[in-house]
Amino acid sequence: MSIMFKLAVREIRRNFGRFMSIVCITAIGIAFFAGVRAAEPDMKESADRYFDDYHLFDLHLKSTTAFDDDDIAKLNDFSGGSVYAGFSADMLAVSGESTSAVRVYSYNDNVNTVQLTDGRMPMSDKECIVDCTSIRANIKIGDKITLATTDDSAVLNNTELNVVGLFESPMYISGSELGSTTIGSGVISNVIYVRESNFALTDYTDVYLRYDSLTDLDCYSDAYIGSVDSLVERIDGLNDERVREIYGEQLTKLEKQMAAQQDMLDALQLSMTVSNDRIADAQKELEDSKADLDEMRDYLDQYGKLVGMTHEEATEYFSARTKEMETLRADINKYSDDYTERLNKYNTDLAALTDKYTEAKEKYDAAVLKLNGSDPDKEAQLTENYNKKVAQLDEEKARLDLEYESLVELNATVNEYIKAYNELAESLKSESDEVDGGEFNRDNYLKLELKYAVMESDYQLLESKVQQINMTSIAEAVMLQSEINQIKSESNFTQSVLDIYKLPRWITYTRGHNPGYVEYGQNAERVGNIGKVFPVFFLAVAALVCLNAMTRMSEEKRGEMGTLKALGVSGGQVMQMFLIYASLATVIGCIVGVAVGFKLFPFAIIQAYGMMYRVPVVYIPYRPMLAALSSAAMLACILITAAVSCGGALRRTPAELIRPKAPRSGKHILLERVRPVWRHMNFIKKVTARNIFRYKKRMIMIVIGIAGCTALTLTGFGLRDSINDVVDLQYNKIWKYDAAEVFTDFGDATLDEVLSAVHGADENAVAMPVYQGAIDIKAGNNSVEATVFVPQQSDRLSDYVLLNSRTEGEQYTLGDSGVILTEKAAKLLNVSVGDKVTLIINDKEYSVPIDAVCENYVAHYAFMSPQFYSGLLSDECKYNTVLISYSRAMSADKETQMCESLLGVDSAMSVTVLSDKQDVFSDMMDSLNIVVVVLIISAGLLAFVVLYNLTLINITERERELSVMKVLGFYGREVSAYIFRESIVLTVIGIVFGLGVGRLLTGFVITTAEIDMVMFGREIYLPSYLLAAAITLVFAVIVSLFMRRKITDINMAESLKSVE
Amino acid sequence: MAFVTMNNVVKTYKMGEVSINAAAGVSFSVQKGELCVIVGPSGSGKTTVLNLLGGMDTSTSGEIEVDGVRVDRFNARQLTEYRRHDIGFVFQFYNLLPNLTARENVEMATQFSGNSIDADKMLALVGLGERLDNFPAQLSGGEQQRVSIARALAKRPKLLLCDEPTGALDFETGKMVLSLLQKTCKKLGMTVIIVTHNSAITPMADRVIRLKNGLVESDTVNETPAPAESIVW
Repeated sequence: MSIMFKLAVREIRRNFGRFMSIVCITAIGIAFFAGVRAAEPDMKESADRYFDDYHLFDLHLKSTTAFDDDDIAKLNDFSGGSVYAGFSADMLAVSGESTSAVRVYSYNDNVNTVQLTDGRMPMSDKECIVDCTSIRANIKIGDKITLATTDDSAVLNNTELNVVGLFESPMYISGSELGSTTIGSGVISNVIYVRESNFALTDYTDVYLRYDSLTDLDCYSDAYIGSVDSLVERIDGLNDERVREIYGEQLTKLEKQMAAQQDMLDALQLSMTVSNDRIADAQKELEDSKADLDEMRDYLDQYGKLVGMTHEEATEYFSARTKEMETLRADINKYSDDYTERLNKYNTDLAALTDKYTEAKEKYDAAVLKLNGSDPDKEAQLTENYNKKVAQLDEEKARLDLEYESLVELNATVNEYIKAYNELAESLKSESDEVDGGEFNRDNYLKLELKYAVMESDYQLLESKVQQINMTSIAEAVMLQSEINQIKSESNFTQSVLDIYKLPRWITYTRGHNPGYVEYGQNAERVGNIGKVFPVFFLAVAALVCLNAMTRMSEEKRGEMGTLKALGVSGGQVMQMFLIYASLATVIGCIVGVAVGFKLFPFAIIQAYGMMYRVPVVYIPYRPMLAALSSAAMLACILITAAVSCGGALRRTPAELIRPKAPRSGKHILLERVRPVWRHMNFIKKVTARNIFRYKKRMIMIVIGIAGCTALTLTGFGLRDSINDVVDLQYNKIWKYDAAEVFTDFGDATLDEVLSAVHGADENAVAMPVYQGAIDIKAGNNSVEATVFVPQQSDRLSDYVLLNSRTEGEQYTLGDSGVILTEKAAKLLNVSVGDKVTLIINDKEYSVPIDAVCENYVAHYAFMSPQFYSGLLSDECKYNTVLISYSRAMSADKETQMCESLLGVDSAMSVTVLSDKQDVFSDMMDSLNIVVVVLIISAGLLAFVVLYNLTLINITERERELSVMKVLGFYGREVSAYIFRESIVLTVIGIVFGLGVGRLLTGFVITTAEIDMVMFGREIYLPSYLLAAAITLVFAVIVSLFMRRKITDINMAESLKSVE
Repeated sequence: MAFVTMNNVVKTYKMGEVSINAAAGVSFSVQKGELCVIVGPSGSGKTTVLNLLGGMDTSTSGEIEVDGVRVDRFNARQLTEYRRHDIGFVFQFYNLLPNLTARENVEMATQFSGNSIDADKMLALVGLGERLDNFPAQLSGGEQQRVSIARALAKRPKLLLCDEPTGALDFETGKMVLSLLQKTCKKLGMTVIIVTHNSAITPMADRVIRLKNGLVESDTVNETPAPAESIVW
């Protein structure tokens, strides 16, 4: 064993280059493997440490009203965590011409502390500190900020504040946004801390909870998230308890009231039904009578014809008898009509009066509700007014009641007449009943006509009776209805009171609500995903290179191995030498790789994300488990390759090993069959072709190595292309407008004012109002935050925003039947053209179809026409933004002036110039260039190591051949060319192959590394392909130059050496 | 007229502090068209002399002249040219390029000058007209050596150098190769120098030079060289 160790060490010294190449490739492989794998936990733990160091809340509570002392006490006792109460408010900050929305917090030393980047903490109520990021408006220490509320309520004691410091806060780790608000433009543009004493509010607006039990957990871990979820439930339970505690009594009372009102409503409803039924029954009776009457008439007409008499003749016969009836009839009608007329009037008046009652009550109730007990004097005034009004209405009601009474009298009169009429009709009827059955004669006919007359008058009576019932019923119904209405409005009132009482709801926010928090975690996970794939690749390369090196070594040592075996050393023991050699190289490589990798790669990755997130803590520890695992994996890999490389040889007999290896014999290759081509190839080309196929394994390895190098380089450039595309395509191709102005109250004159402000700087500028609002889009289990975009004129949209298909290039126009969704959103929601998605606008859900999916790279949008919008929301679209397009050649000064005059327009909130945003974004994307450089360098190393090794094997194996050629008089360069012609062909094949693989690899990296909000460009441009090929060629050429030396050093005397 | 002359040629190898004189002052000359055999035991300097004559190495001192040209003054480039056009080499272990057919191996030499003999003809001349498309692995030792000879002769060199041409062959095949050498060279009027440790070959030579310890021990001309077939060893 110690002999083998000695041999191994001597071998290391003899050929230090080979040893170092294994060490290097192992180190690189491990550095990558461990380093990239460590990046995800490093990122997450860095953030977690930052949050812990600055005491970030675990839960943040807000209330629909405010928190009073009892609320805080309850939380202190039962929440299980440390409770800190504070104030916050969204206010408008005025600076010069522009106003922006800001969030003001009261500072607390125990929770959500901040890191001062400049200046000091506020020491008086007139001072404040401001968030330090550069995307805010340039605020310097010493500036003055004036704050105002939107409704003139008093929130702060001092609204004019001096900026004395700048800070970084763990609540805001996003580098691009500070959250949204309901005031101003909807976007928070700054965060301000003031002393708690500056707040003029009595009840706390915010409560923060911190839990000791959660400090040790990583905030992105499942354990933390699960714990927080159950804590949120606990807090909700406490909220319910508080609501019951404060309002329990009233709530119960009101609930009872509601129940009683409901019962009354039900009873009235029942009466209505009964009344309606009565009308229906009377109506039916009437119809039945009519039917009988008509039937009789028909019969009589027939009869009359038979006996030769007409109805008129018969009537005349009875005229005297019936005259009396007719007189009575006329009177009845007269009184009936009168009654009808007066009853109608009465009903109308009653209905109007009832409405007046209802109106007055509703107005009064609403006014009281609005006051909500805050102004007892005003309430008393309102009550007095209301009572006066009611008194007025009561007078009118009295009048109507009198009328009602006289109507009742009239009704009685009519009834008497009807009674007399009935008696008369009765007697006539009994006479007519004496009809002789069957005989068709004049007497019978006349009697029947009499009977008919009676029936007719009975019917008319019934008719008026039914009319009366109708009218009574209608009157009744009207009264009932007004009663019902009254109770309904009382019930609604009770309900709204109940709602008021239910209002104090606590909303619990976790850390996930902080801007950037969730995306940061997702990005870390994305890196982790890449870390699962890429490093394996490097591990494979390391194994490959080691295999090469060990194979060469075993071939060099062939004779030595044979000798050792001849001396009685077992094959296994000989292998030990190789294993020791490989192990030493790997162990050293692993140590170096781990030492460098755990620091370098996570650092580079964290730096890359540093532009997008503000997490000042960089925690990149050594991770023993990961180091041990990856080293073990690498060691296993290397040892296996070492064993494989010499195992084959060691299985041979000693004699065979002592004899030198017979070189590969030549063979005819397939290409020779292609006669015309083969004949035209000059002899050197033939040699090259044959040589390539002579060592197939080596050929494949070179092609793979080169392909890998090209693929990596192409991925590097491809990534850069994609990333650049985002900015370039979005800001030049898609968004054609140049500036956008936001308004709080867009009026009819606003557009004209904007245009006149702009025409001063560029008379050809154009503008269009649009509506942009924050919405959520849902489809199945997926949802994204997006912006709904409604242009005033759909046909002019293409001058400002390009809607087109990324793959086909066809332009889309906004139709009225659906929305156009941006591509990344469609992908995240897993929907396509024709599918339906749910838009959640202002808490209401709308299901809409997707008309088209358009190209877009930054953020998500749903475009729709104003007609579709108003159809969907049943409300005209109220615009809030004006897009402005002007000449890009405008000078910076003119642009600034134009912006100033734009801000002078009524209700203007802010002006955004797109080129500014573009620059910011561009800087963020630039940081990803680090990744690109890393990829290219590793590609180069890969190419170099692989090519170097393989070419070296090539040369050493054919040393004899090459020396013969020298003897035969080949020039040095001809001998080199003999070898390198093969390399070149293989390199070219490798490059072509590599470009294809590189394309796939780039696609994979892009889709894995993309953040949800952005869609990276999907195209790799021609220069990238050319560059990747060129760089690979350069590496190949460099290797060749190194190798040339080796070839020139070949001794011609090699050719004379014995073969046996 | 001396075609090849070596005058007091010394070749010293320095290895650290040790100096070894492989050639210690070799002087001889060979006439045009002669078949010369250089014999000597192991370590006598035969290989060194061959290397120097073949332009594969440079002498420490002394003059080497081939066809009136001072070879010892050549730089690397000139030496390559010299080997390319003027020297034909036959190795002990044939050293054919294994990846080329017999024809192609010969063509490799003929492509240098326009004055060469056509490869196919050359191979026919050495009796391998049927085996043009075979790879060396498919040829026997003797056949390989014959291809090697064809390769050496096809470019019409001024001088043919053979390093133990029969060393790897059996007696019969060896004789055949020697016979071929003898005949072809007489035919083409070529100057041939064979280096060997096998003294049995010397009868077939026109001139025999014996080397010992880096010096010429004897330089004799053979009036009646025997045909190769009659040699026995």
